[in-house]
Amino acid sequence: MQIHILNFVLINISFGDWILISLISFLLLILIVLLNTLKSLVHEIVPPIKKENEKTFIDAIESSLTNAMPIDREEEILLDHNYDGIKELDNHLPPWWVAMFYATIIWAIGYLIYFHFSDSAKLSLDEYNDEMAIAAKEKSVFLEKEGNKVNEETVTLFSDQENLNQGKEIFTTNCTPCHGQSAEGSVGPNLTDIYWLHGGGIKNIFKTVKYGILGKGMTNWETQLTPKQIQQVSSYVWSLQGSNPLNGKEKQGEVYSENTNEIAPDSLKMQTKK
Amino acid sequence: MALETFSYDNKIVKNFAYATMLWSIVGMLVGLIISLQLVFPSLNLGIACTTFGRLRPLHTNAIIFAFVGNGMFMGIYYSLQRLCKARMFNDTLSKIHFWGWQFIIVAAALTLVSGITSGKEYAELEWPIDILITLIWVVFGINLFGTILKRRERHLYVAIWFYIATWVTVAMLHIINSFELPVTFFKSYSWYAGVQDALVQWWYGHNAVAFFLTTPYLGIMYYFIPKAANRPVYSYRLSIIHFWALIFLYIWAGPHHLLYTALPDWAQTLGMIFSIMLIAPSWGGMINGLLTLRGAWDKVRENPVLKFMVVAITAYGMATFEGPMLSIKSVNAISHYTDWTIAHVHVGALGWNGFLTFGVLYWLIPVLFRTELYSKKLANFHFWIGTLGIIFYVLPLYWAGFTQSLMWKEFTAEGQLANTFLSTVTRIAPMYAMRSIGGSMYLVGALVMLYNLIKTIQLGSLLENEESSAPALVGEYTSHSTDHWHRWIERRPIQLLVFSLIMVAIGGIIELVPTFLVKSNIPTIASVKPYTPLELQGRDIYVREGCSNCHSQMIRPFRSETERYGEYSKAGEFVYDHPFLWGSKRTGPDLQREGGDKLKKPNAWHFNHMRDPQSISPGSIMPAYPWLMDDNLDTSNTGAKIRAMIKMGVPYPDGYDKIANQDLMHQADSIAQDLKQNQIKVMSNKEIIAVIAYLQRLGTDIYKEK
Repeated sequence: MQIHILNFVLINISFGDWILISLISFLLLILIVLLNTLKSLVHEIVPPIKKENEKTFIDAIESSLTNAMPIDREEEILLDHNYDGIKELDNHLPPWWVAMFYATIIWAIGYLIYFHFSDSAKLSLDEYNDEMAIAAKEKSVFLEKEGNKVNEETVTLFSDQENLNQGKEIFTTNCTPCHGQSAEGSVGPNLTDIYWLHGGGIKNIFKTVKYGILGKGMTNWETQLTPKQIQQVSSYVWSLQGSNPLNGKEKQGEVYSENTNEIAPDSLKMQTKK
Repeated sequence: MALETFSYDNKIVKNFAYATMLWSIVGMLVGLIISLQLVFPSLNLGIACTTFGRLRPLHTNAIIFAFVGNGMFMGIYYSLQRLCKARMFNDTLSKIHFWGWQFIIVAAALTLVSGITSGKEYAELEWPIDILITLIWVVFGINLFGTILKRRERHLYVAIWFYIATWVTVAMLHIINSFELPVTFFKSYSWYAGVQDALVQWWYGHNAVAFFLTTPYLGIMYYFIPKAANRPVYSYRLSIIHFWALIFLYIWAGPHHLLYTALPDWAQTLGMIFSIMLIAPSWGGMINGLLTLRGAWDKVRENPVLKFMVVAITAYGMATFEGPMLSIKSVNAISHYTDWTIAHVHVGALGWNGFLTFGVLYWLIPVLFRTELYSKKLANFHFWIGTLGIIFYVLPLYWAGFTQSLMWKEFTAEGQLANTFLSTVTRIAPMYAMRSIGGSMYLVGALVMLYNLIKTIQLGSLLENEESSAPALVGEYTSHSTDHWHRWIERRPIQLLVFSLIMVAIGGIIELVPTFLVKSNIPTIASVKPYTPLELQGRDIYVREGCSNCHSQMIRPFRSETERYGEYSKAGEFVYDHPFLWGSKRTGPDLQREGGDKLKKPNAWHFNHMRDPQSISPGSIMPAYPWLMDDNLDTSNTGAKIRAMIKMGVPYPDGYDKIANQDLMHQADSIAQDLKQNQIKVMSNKEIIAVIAYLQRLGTDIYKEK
């Protein structure tokens, strides 16, 4: 997960944002100084043990940042305003604050020009197309390397317990809402009888799981399961033939048997091509 | 000069203070209840009026318009009289304002739990209440300006600048955003559709934060901080620059709620860059507030009033720094639709508005009742449990938001989404529980305050009319060469009003007008057609039940969203959506393509899921909607709804309103028939049928193009 976070952050941070990140760092620095200012304000009440009139380095930075009139000389900048007893001083604007204001304005103008008046920046949809292209490439490289390339033509039935257990787990997480706890069928059809809407057997089931039956409620699981996982769950489903669970849903579709070679037209085409 | 004697109206201030105290408890209690509903969905009780989708707007409206609204009027009515050295303009108007506002709140509460809502976030109230709000706001305005015009103080103090800007901007926002076409007494459609509606809504929504929760409270801060600390305001020139910069820049920032949506890129950019430029003006207020306490920090340690105020200003500074950060597109890509936003607004609501209100109440109640606070100890207890409550509230939600967002975006090496939506919800459930603990602590603090203040009130007696005297303003002011140039406008409230309006109108005009007039901003899609009558009725039920409080309908152009939900949303898909229902939070998954190939589910799935979500998705926190299966769909208004749509330019054929119900029945029958084939027996005239029809239609039109 760590790597994905890092990837995500790197992909999504653009040039303009790097400028902003520097700005944030700058602002954080200011925040620290501001907090320090507050601390020293507290010190005015509870004076730290310090020689008279000795200015520390921090004091110097501070006064250059806030540019505030010392409290004992406040009278000099007290205005003649008096609103229900409220008076107003006329302290200088804190220089760091002014600098920050200018910096954000300059950044904003720069961002606007960069993204809308120069051809170098990517807007939302360009960003998206790039993201998709990178992902597709990475995916194909990965699958190539892993040999995880089983498809509806090459898929074979798992019969070992380990793969079937994995398949059962996948089934329980993803399939039970529509097909029932024991594949007896509820919203979706019963998967344990010999009747099949889209063909039985490992190849047909793999295909149905992978591409889904769009428009009829069956999701295309290829976006959520790996080819191997689809192979596992399809093998598990086929292993349930004849398990005859309670409350099985009534038959839907045609009888399927391996011998009749009733394969959906698409896969037939692929076979003849071979 | 002869002294004039007059009296301040303290009774109206007391009334607003009482209302603030009452609504604070109500609003927070509803908030606590809905936060618990996210942990224990059974707390929705299976009853329409106690379900999350209806209670959540009740919570937000109660906090914003009832608690903070009354708090604002309390602060304004107290400070304005003293800053103007004049009694409120008219006692009857004060009373109408007070009772009118309370009536609006009660009407809002009753209608919201009954599902009477416009569906627009923070502007949910239906058209009769919208009109009432406008009238009461005008009453408030007359009272405000009447008092200012008969003032005995030549210049207007900075607090009053903020009050004036608040009044004029809220009026503008409310009126423009509330353009709606009534269908019945309790139902209207937003005049705008889709992208345009979204832009107007968030221009309003964002500036409700700015001009209802921020500017009036800055005004209140400028009065009560110097009063409570007995210190002069830090910098007059800072007041000037941050006031004008704040109101000018704030209004532009609305589109940052719509980053990566179907809103045109240029508008998104404006929203983002103006948000960044807002940091300094916002912090100007924080600096002026905090540095006013320079030389009074010993008092802060002693005085609970100042403690509350210091935390409030600090929370304001944090929220106004975080807001711009969240407006940066790449940060927003992570934070949007998650609980991060909820944490962010609660730093503002609990910290800034809550704590400043508490500070003012602790200062004001003893003053009004001429006594000492009953217990300083209890006030200190309130301060600490409230502060801890805020921390316990926001930290888990930051964590939850970040965790969930990363889980949504996580892919396996095989290129597949690593997490189902549901697994991201169950992962953050413990953080929701922790948030409820934080919220409870904050509420306990508020209850302790209520007790403490009631005891204080019992100790003292209210001075209803406080005598005062001041010389009348006579003759023209002779200005001095040493006067600051800004003093000119401080003597002229009308000019101040006009200039404020100009300032806030600029950003609005530049963003709204092109989006309405320039065609290329919303490219049309030929295959997008109006909803069928049944789908339209289903959509209205979707609005009524507040589905968009938890489900967005806006797929952003990210791989993690198009893989999960399907094709990203296009501006042209929403042209018949009155109102838009993009939502702002994904407590549940996005529904924009619920009927599309990727997500399409059988009618029976929807039926079972709405009746008992947990039976289909174990661990889901969605409430059940059993009444949709029992209640009959009201088809008596179908014709009126179609006519309203036609009036707003939705291309139904002429005279379609008369035959719409035939089509409606036909479609309903076919859905009921399909359900019957799946062993679900339901009459075709039930509400659930319309909801299913709407959900199955969602996001499908663009696929018809191919």
